[in-house]
Amino acid sequence: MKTAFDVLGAELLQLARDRRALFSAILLPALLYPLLFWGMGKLEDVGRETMAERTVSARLDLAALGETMRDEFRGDLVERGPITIEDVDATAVRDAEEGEPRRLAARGALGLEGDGEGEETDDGADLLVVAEIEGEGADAQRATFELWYDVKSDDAREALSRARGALRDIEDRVATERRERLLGGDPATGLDPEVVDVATAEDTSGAALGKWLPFIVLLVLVSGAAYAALAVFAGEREAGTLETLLVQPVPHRSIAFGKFIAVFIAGAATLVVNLASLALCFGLGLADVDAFGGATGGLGLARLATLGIELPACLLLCALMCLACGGARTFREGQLLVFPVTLLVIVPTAIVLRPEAELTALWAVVPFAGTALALRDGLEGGLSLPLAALVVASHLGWTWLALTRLAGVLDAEKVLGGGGDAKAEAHLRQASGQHAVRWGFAVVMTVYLVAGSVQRWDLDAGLWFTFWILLPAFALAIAWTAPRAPGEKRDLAGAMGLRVPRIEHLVGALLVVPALARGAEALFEWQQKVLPLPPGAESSGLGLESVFGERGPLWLFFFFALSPGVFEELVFRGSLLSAMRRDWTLRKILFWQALYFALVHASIYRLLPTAILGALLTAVALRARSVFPAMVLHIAYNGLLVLGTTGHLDFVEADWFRYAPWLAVPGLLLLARPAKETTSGA
Amino acid sequence: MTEATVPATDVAILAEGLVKTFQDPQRGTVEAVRGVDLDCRRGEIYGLLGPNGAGKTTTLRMLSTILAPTAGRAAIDGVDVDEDPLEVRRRIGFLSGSTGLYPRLTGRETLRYFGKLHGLEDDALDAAVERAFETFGLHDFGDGRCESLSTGQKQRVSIARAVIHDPPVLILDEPTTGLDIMASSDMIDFIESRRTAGTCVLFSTHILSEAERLCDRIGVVYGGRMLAAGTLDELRADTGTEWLEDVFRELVRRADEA
Repeated sequence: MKTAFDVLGAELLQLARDRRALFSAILLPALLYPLLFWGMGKLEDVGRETMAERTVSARLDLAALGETMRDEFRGDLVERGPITIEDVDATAVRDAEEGEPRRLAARGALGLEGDGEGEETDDGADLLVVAEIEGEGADAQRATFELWYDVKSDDAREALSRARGALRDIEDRVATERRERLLGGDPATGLDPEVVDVATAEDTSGAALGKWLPFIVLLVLVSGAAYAALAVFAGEREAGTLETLLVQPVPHRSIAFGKFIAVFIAGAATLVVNLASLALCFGLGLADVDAFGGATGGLGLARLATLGIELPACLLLCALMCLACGGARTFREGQLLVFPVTLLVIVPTAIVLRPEAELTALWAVVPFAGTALALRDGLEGGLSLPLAALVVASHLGWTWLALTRLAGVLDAEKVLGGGGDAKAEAHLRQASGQHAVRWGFAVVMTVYLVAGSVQRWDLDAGLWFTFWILLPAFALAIAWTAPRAPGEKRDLAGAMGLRVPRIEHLVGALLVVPALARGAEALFEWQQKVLPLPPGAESSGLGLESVFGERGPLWLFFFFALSPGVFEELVFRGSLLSAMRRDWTLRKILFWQALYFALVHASIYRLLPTAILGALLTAVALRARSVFPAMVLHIAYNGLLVLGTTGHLDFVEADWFRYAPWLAVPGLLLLARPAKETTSGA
Repeated sequence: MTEATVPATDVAILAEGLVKTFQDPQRGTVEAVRGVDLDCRRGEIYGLLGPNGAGKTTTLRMLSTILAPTAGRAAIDGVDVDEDPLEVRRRIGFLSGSTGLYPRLTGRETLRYFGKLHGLEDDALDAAVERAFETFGLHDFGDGRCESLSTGQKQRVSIARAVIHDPPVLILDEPTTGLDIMASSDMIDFIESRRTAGTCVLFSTHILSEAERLCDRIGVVYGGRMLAAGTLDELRADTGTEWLEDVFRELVRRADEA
């Protein structure tokens, strides 16, 4: 333990003198919220000016009011901006029972049917105002207003804002009149406006702190911990001090543990500074706590104490960062390795964005998903203590597991590789691995941002562009720019995995497809219990039926089986895999292939199936030393699932489908055959 | 030179049949060292001479317990590297040409850090640091951050760090690589000074003049094997050549023909 503290002391001293470490651990998290809220304020100002020009619509039931007040309210609304006013009879809302029945009645009166998005009817309105007269005797003229709106609609929020302004003006006038007329009355209660959101409880929680704080906290943690981990592991190796450290008479695990504690302290400091900055922003009024859900029950000490549940997540994140950066040979390589760790954190955390996701015992043990859901529930005041305990215990368990592997990252066999004399070859291989990581990231982001946008604009054009232009271009670019040794000839076909395969591998790939499809069905059924598809998409595992059901089978097969089967494989199991093979171990290749293949499909619901498929296709391509068997498998698998789930092919009920596992046995045996030794280009 | 001619108590470094293989994703199993024998006595300077890729660094890393031998055995000051690596590390000072310093620590902080890792505390630590400051003339720059030091100054801090615990054995891997003339001369002076202090010094180099000037005995390593070992005169006699460069070429030629 003394050694760990000696290492910790030296590491902290260095981090404290490192401007970049101070920036990422202290300055950035401290400035994040002030800058964010200032920017949001500016955007809001611009938005407000724009919104003031918008025509909004309001439905008014003001029958209970006197004529004067009715006209005054209506006139004030018109003066505040373009508005379409419609008088309605909202007796159904008024008479409905408090709670859900009344909310549904209000949605009906607004022209909003059901609770889904995009269901507003053509004659729907942005705001419903229902006025009533309450009180007896001297206060008989006290008016109450219910203002129903949908928080998700910009127009609705604008209409609400105008109506509140109009009511404030009337209230001021009424209060003044009463002050003059009545003695002893309370002029401040001239009006009693009550704003009521027609959104569901889940939607309301969407505006709450619990929905976005888990993200911010973890991203800030990544920022602080990542640099510290890079500095103490990858930075040390790059500076040439690690070899010296390893010949000191102390156990390597003590060195690794001391470094981990230093990273944790940097991460925890980031967290504390960031949360203090947030509290200060609320305290100084830079941000409206009500706008972040504080209005719903407030943000008492007990709720804020839930933030403590992020500590185990912080420990786990720091341990993962240390593991990732400890495996890096240079600072730059470490920066690349931080990326998948960040994804490992963000993807499970995204579960808090799903309103239907509940903190269960299963989710509690999922790294980062458990803490995110617990934090959300805690901030909303509904955290179950046993589940919170399970979240903490499981995250501490994951951290312990990660730490047991941490000493291994300082294993000199891995750190130093072979002797110190083969640096040119080592650098070439290292460059090859980095080439794969960089290009993989570029593929994922381009497909997600560019191809996704084009597909949303025009589906057919987008699919042509994605599969027949973008992906082939990437495959060629990755293969063309692959690092080569001096004098090494460029082998474009080889770099894309275009080698003639064994016929047995092609047949084997086809034979395992039915079993994979069965596995996909089983996985989908299990996933529906854990993470159900959103309403409207649950009828199919891929969610395709509702969207593309009317398209013909040929169109579906071409765009969802043949095209991705050929060109995704050319990029992932072709060019990227060739770059990865030069340096990486099998485990590392499978991990990165699964990760990128899952990410490029950009769906949390398809994350697990696509990751598994990506790893399987990689294993097939590696075994066959050719991309073609993986292509065949991908095309057949996609074809079976797409045509099956869109009702064009009923394979689940087919007799032959029962024998899928038996078909897989000879398929696997054929795939297990060694690849051809020849590497002629196809 | 064989083990039989060296009194066991006099041997500070002993290696017998050292083998090291690596698993390489591209090349499969790579044999970096294929059965190296050597012995080095107290007060002796022993040079491992060989081209890049000969296996010198890997051999030194096995002797300093950084890498575990695949086969064979080695002992430092009588302690087996495989059985008690921590004790071995207490008895060696290790320095390589690529060794760096923590840029944001001062020279003094660096020495204190490594002194603590060697178990020195309080007065013993202070005394060791002061002694290093005196011996290596660090007073003028030892309290400045290492990132602001010149190459020669860094080299002196590195040497002081390697011997802060006064080890009986020094293992130096191409210690003059990347150094300018002045820093390189300082290093050579330091190595020579160790002989009179009774320290056993084993160092690797591919610079023939360094080996010729410093070494009591030279081991020629090539392709992971020890081709020959002995004094310069013994090697000359063995190969029938005068200059060390010719000795080396002759030994390599014989190995390639074998």
